[in-house]
Amino acid sequence: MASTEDLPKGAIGDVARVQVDGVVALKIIKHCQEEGIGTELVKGFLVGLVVGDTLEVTNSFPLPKAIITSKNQSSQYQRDMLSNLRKVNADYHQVGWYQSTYLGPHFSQVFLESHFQYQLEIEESVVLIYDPLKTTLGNLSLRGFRLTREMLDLLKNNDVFTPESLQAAGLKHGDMFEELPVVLRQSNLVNGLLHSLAPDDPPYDLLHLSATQHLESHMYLLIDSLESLQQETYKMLGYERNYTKQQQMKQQFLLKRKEENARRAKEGEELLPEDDKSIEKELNVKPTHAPPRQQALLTAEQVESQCEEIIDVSGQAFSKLYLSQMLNQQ
Amino acid sequence: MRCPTLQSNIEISSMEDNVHSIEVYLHPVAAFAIIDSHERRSKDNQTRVIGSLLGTKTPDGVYEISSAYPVPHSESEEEVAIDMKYEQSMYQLYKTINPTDVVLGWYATNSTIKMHSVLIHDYYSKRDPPPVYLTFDCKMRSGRLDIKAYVRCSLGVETKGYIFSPIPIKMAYYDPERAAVNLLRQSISTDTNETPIKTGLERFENVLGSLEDSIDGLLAYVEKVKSGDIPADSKIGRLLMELVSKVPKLDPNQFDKIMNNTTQDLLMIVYLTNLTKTQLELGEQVAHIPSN
Repeated sequence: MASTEDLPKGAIGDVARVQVDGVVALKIIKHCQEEGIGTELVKGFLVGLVVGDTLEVTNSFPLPKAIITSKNQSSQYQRDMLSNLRKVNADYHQVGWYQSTYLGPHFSQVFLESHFQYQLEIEESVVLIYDPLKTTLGNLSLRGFRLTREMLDLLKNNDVFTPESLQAAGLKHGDMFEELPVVLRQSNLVNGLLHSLAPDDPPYDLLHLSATQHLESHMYLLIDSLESLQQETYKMLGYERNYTKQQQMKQQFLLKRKEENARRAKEGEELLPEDDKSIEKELNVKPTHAPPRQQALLTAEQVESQCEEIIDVSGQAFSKLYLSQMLNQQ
Repeated sequence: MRCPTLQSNIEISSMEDNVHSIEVYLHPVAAFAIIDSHERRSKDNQTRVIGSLLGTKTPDGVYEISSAYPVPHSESEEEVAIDMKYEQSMYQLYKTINPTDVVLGWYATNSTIKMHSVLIHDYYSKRDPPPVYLTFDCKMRSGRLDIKAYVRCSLGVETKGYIFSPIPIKMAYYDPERAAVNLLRQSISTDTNETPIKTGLERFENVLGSLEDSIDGLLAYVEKVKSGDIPADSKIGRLLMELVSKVPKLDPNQFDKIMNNTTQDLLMIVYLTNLTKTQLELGEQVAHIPSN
């Protein structure tokens, strides 16, 4: 069985895929099914170990809603759970967390913050995103994400995500998170169990014509994200306009000041200061700062991922449409 | 920390008399957890793992087991000791997750009922409701992994004894759970036991493929019946009739209209989506042009 040796302190590049034990997938589903009423999201912890290029997630436990707000209680709960797992020979190394979302991953600032905390402690940490809506339609949706090295470094240096620093780092919205392929795995004994369970039809639910009903919700979500992206763009535009205006004012002032100083030099009078700061002071303007671009990047990533979702869903819709056309012709 | 050897004190509540109305439903997640616990048993001569079963119970005796956790125990020929403190602590932790869950019984990962089983059952009988006892035949003695459920009921008139009486057990699935189990089943015959998780479109292709296979199989069967190789089965014939009549009949003109409209809509969506992606990419490129 899986040993419980310490996690190697390698680069995150070492881990190229996530192997999720069948029991973990089922536990996440169960948690979401029982606690995720309506559109509420559930969260929990993953435990496992790193073997070569594979992050093996061998167990998981939920973060109960009842204690989610109290930091003390939830860390006590985590400690108790991990020590109990240890007593029954389960893995007890935390390797990330999971979250349920509806209709694709949700890249928000909160999401980024909480995942950063995990990767700060253990670089190999991943987050598994489980989508109950898609899974109910017959296709298990479990995706693994983590922060890229570049993003991790920026966050570690408390970067404020100015346009300049992003340009220097060459960071685009697609470079913040990387998706890792997720494979499910089960033991031979579980295979034995699966054999003795009654055989089931292939998930023909997937072929249901109305299974594309979520397409509309996808579009609405995309519109929402686009709107917030636009707001971010307006912020940036506003800053640029202000900045140019200020620069012009300063230039004009500087020109006048230079003439004045030239005159003063001729007449042997004391020169007036020409540096940026004193000009700003005399003009009574504050130096403008570029708005942080983190939110804009996240929203762009969100838009991108929603586009992918829509293309995936509409691809299925096309096939179904042609299928029913063939059926009707015969 | 360990409890002293359990004494068989048989004080069973009257509730155990209607144990026969108990129906047990087991979720795959609990079964998977139990097998996982068996695989993680200690090396030192531990032949079986025992643990608690959690879930909900309806007033008319339907037990729905949705989680399970192992409890450390030690047993020898003479005695058995279970770590009650661990059991309690784990129960409390599970309670914070699911306040409505109660302990419904216990499991053991061997198929034989031993004398010690009575003692462990006594421990679980102290709580409400009357516990069920699940055995998982993890050695697969019968060639398959049998899961059996038992309840204890009294026997005899004057000298009272007890027997473990088997009761039926069924699997229960949440919809998403079924999807996951179906996916896991795909890797049964592979060497690695691994199933990659695919996107909707890839999975869709798989399903279409299997649909095609079934239709091919069906066609082959029909051909064989037509040529007289195998006798016709009226049951299958009727099912086929039903299938054919299920294809909805739509007016061709109307159908064409629906087809065209939907295709147009979808094309528009795909066009807009791709446009959005292009814009995004363009914006990004512009932002990264060096300012000089």
